[in-house]
Amino acid sequence: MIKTLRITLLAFLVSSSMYAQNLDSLMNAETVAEPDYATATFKASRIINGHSVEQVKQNNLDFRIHHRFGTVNSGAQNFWGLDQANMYLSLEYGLTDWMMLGLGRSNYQKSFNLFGKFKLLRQSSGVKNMPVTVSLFTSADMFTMTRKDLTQNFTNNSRLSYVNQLLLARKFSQAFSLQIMPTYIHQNLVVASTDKNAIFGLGIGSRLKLTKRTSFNVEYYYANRSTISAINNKYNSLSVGFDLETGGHVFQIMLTNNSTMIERSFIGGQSGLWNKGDLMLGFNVSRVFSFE
Amino acid sequence: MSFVSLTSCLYQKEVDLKPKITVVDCDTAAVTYSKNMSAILKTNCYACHSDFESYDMVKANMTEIVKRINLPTSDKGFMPKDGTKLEDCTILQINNWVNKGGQNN
Repeated sequence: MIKTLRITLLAFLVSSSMYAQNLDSLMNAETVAEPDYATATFKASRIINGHSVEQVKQNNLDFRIHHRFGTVNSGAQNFWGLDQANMYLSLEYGLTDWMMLGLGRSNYQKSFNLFGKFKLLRQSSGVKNMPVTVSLFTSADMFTMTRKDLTQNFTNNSRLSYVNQLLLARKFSQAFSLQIMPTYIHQNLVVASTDKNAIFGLGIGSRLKLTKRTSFNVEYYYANRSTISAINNKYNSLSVGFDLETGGHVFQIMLTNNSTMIERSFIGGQSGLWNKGDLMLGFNVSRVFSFE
Repeated sequence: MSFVSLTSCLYQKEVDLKPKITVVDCDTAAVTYSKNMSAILKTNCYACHSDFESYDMVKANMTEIVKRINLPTSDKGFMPKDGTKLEDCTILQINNWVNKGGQNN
């Protein structure tokens, strides 16, 4: 009887230790099986004017100051644009690592914009192969500038615009990332009768890493705006710039044909002509506060 | 909250929201190329821009034309060059024709 008991106990111990071993090896296999996610496709949440696939991390608050000077061709009297200022300020919060919300203010038509950016797919290799990172950017903005000249059917609703962008990015190597941005913009109010309220745009942006702390960026947006507007000639947005990383900040400095820093205006056509010198210097400053 | 609740899409143009300008005896609504535009161009432009006798050339340059006739007279690009500014009614008629797509009508 005792012998039988011993054998049973032994069998139990052996089997349970085998079970434990199996669990161990299974857990080891799972930790090894973590996909290799691409990180730092871009240095900041903006490439230059527009958004990149980078998010503000969970429980972090990003305070951003975007500044564009006046146009370089405005002459010595205006100190080649440096006398003038165009501003965009925003607070952007990471609810999770894949979802952020932001509230911004632009001095262009005294606008506020409320936006969200959601990471849908992450570029990864190894066990899970995903060639691109995909994010959805969606924004509503409202200009608050008084328009006493508009008297008929002008309501608060007329002040609204909506922007939706899909951001598709791939980090090809440590040094080179590329992003394309199909964009849909609806503006409730446009200037001329030939202007379209709804426009489609396509952006392309790229980052070339120069050193550990600097990179060179280019960003271009095409949009199918009306080509005939009696009020404004409208051009596509083209910007080049550098990212400089210093401690907790990313400092971006750029040359752009855009004085406005919200999507509906820089994609929607408030740009000047590069070859006429309608260019402005500008910078973005970002300061991240952690609430972890 | 009102910011969020206002979510309907409108298709408004500023020009339609402005109070209607009534220039006495200025008919901007029914401007046509054959009836009005060619006469305006003949009086004000042909002397230097003989190529504007062709509709295609006018159509190709219409945005530029509108821009230049609306410039202040002191501007380098102002048209008619060294001339006086076109009459308000003429400018409105040209603006209107261009805004409607510059048809050969």
